[in-house]
Amino acid sequence: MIKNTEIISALDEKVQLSVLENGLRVYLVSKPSFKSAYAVFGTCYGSVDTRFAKDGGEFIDVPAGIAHFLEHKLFESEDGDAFSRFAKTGASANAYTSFDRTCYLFSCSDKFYENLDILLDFVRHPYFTAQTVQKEQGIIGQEIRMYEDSPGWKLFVNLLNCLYKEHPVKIDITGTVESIAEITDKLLYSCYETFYNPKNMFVCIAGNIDCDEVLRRIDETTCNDKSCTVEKGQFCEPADIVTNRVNHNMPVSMPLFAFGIKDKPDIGLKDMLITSLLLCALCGPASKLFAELTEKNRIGSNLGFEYFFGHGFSALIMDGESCDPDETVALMREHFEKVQKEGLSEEAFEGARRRIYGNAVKHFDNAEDIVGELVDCAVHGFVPYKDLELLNSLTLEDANRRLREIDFSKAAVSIVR
Amino acid sequence: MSYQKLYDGIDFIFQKTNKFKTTLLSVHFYTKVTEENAAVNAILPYLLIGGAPDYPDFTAVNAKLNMLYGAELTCKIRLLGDIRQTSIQLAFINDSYANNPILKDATEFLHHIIFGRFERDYGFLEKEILREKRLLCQQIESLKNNKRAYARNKAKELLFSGEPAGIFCYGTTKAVEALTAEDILSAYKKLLKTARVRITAVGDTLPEGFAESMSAAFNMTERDYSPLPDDIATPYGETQTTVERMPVIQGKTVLGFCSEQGGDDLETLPMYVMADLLGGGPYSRLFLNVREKQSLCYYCAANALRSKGVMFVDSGIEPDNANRVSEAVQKEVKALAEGDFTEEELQTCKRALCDALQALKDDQVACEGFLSSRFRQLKEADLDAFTFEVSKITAEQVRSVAAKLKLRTIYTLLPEEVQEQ
Repeated sequence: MIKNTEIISALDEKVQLSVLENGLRVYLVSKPSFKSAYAVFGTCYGSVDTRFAKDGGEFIDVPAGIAHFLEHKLFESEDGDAFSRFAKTGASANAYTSFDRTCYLFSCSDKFYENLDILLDFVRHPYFTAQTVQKEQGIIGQEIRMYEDSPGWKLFVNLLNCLYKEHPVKIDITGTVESIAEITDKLLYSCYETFYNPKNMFVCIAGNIDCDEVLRRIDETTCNDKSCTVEKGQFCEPADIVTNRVNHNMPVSMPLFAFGIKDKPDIGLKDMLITSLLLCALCGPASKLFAELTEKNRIGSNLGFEYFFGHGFSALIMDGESCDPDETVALMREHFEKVQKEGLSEEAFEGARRRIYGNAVKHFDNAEDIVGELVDCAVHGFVPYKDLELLNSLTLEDANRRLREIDFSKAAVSIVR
Repeated sequence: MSYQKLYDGIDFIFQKTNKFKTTLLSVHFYTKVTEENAAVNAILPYLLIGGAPDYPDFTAVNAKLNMLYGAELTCKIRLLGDIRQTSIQLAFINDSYANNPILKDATEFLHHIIFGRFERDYGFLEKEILREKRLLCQQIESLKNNKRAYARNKAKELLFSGEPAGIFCYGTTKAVEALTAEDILSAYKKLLKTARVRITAVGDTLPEGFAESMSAAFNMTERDYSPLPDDIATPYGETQTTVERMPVIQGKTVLGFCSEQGGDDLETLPMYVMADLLGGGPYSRLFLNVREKQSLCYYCAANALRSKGVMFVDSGIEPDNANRVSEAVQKEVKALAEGDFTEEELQTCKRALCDALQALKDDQVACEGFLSSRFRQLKEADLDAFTFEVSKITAEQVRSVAAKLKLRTIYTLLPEEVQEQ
């Protein structure tokens, strides 16, 4: 049964957002001019969810990496695996686990309803045994080793460990070879039965679809699925950081750096948007900072930046390559503190606003990008495209107010050289 | 799709569609790659997008892009067999989503980026050359950061030794450092004058006279175009085995196979299908047998380079499994060569390929990439026609091309302390 449906419009597009009686949220965007469709069936469960209680019961702690492990195993069933089912329809299927979500997806240009049925079926029917768990430990062990050879990933995980003392966002999504060795089929079922319930889950689809028919099918398939209440562990994360610098040695052509500033978590959509705009204005390719760093040969061709956030954690993160990371970060700090005092210019603000708007428009060109935005809304509880509405209303004063709130003493740098 | 020949060696394809909210304009130059021209042709596009007479540095260029609502100006360099493709692209939002019209401004901006220096007799400044040399050298060195890409590149160098396809498309740091302003200016003029060019537009509207203005700009260069040679299929030879050791945790192994049957036309399509059946997706032989059943690797993928008649299989492995992985891959290739696969497996692979090809129509960048990579054969630039040809490939065609494969190269990257078994 469908509890309610609303239509949200933006830029000639419509999102149909429905909530079913059992709590499942369904976000649908019809693109009749497209040939294909992209669909995600996901859960608000990720690597940070290492402590939880179901339906008011006792809290349990689970090994690091179990959400990702579960994602791998869910493709298997007693009769075979989901990939072989998708192979019969020609769809391309995959899945991913992040800090706060796990998503199962397919894209196809034919047989959409058959693929939707497969997706809804395999995600809702887990099958774990001691033998299959043991086999997967080998495969995931190899995946962990692959990431250990990635300087970029090492840089990022080390930065999170500088910034966060208690919050499990500092734990690697895949866990460690030791932690995944503790995973059992029983633990997998326990995590599955807690987090893979309709109230905690969502379906997001964009492409050549009939929204009403898709919604009807999803409702018909899932209407008897039972929900439960999940209480996620709270972590007493202090405002302070753990350490302001970490250096990791591994062979790289040029040292990599990541400069992170710990922010107050859960600041709301408007302030998150302002912070993203600030980062674009301060660090983007048209910025004075970027010009200065390039002039002084302090960075490579890019200075990456993002506002990294989730429940209970957020940080401004900038990264790049530099022959002298400490000097580069010192220059960046000096620049930010100067702009903090003097204020951001109207030109920089408006340029960044236009760039962010343009990027938002471009997202509508790609079904996968549209679904990515909808998944973010589902996980964080945002209203789709509310950020576009807010973007037009932001002022230079908003940006400077937010800039003054950023505490540079809560900053750390991670280096790989 | 509308096709227009503008000049000898220059064509223009407009994929008119209103399904996107943006327009993507691209100018692609195709040239033969040599050791002597690799570095200069690698630095050139970066210099072009980094400044122009009316936008003297990248800050000015990016300030302009901001005002065009975050338009993206990018350059790409890649090898298509023995030919280098150098691309400059501009993507921007449609006028209906902007507060002020930008279509004309954006297209004139792209024109200026590509032709401005030639039209105004404006060279390349020492300051910008120094910056781009530094960045290009860093980019060449940074290949080592991505171990999978590094291993694939090393295998290519070995398999294509002595051939243009074996030359790293950015050249060497030594060659980059030796470049002068005169070298670069000369290469720029030569590119405009002699390269094979394809201009593409994917979007709803173009300003009137777009193709004509591009045509007129190339006319000013006094074109002197000679058709590009066909790629030469890599010949059979002794199998070379190379092991390199670096401080890594996961090993990599890349196998290179030759068939001596190259070409860019539809006759080489069986190799495309065969490579996918072998190691394309989670339905493929390598995924199911080498990864899932034998747990020998985390990934194991096959890719064909049809124009050269070669196929690469690359895997991420436990270091002490290197030989076992190599043997397992060769066993699967042999099975295909002997016809030891079912019609269902072939149909599964073709379904996945056709489905993915049709989905390209909804991806502006991928759709444009398809048009630009098929610069030799206009027929192959038609996605529906290409999909149809893929669907017709038979088991016998797949078996036949697999039977021609001979292993030429095994490149393995191992940690420093592990002994091979």
